[in-house]
Amino acid sequence: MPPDDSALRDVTDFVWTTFLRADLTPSIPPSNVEPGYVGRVRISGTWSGELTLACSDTLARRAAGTLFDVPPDAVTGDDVNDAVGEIANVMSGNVKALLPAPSRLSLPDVYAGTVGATRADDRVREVWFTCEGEPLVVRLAVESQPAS
Amino acid sequence: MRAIVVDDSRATRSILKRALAREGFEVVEAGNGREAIDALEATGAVDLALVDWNMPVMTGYEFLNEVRARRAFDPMAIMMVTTESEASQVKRALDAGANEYVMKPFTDEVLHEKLMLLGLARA
Repeated sequence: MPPDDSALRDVTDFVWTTFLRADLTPSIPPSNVEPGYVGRVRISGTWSGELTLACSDTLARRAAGTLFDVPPDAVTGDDVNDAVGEIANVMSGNVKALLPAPSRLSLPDVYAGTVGATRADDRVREVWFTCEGEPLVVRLAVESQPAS
Repeated sequence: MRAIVVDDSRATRSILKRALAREGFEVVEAGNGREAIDALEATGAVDLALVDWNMPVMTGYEFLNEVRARRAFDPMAIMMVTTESEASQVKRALDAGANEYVMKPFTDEVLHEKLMLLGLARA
C-alpha cells in the first residue's frame, strides 16, 4: 500500500525542514490557480507510480535561493528547474523508502505548470501546505501495486 | 585535502561544496560519473568523492566500480550521497567499495560525522 496522507505529510515536512530549513503549514487546496513549477519523478518496480511536487513561482525561487545560497531575485530559470527537480528527487527517495522493494527512481523532470486543486481521484494522494504563505502540493499517483 | 562532488543536481553540488569548504576541502565538481572520471584522470586522485547514485551518462554505481578497478584511485574514500535507501542497494554500494553511505536529505552534522568516521573531518 502507498503511504497514507499522514506519512506523505511527514516526508514532505522532513525533506523541506532538513533540505531547505523551511517551515511548512498543512493547508487546504487554494481556491485560485496560480502559475508555478512542477517537479515529477516516476517510481517503477513492485510499486509503480509517480510523485509530483508543485509550488508557486515565488516559493520555487525562494527554495532555489536557499539551495544555491543566493537571494531569490538572483536565481536563474535553470537554478529553479534544478532546485525543484532535486527537491522532487529527494522527496521521491524518501517516499520510495516506505514502499515495497524493489523499485527504481527516474531522473526528475521539471516544467512550468500551475498550483491548484484537482478533481478527486482515489488513485492519487494529495497533501497541501503553505510555506510563508505560498502554496505547495505533493501528489502521489498509483499506477500499480501489489495486491493487498 | 581535495574532494570531488559528483551529482547531476547543481543545487546539491552547491550545498555539498559549501559544507566541504567549511571542513577545509578544496572541491571540484562533476555532473555525472563520466565527467568525474575525466576530472580525476586530468588532476589525479582526490582524498574524497561524494557520489550520487542516479545520474545520466554514468551512474554513481558505475563510477564506483570503475574507480575501484583502478589502483591509482585506491586511497580515495568514496561516500555515496543519494536518495536510494533500499538495504540491497546500500549493500551493493558497500560491496563495490563505497566507504560510507548517506541518504538525502542530510544535515551538516551527519556529513561531519561521516567525515569523522573516514578520518577526514576538521577537528
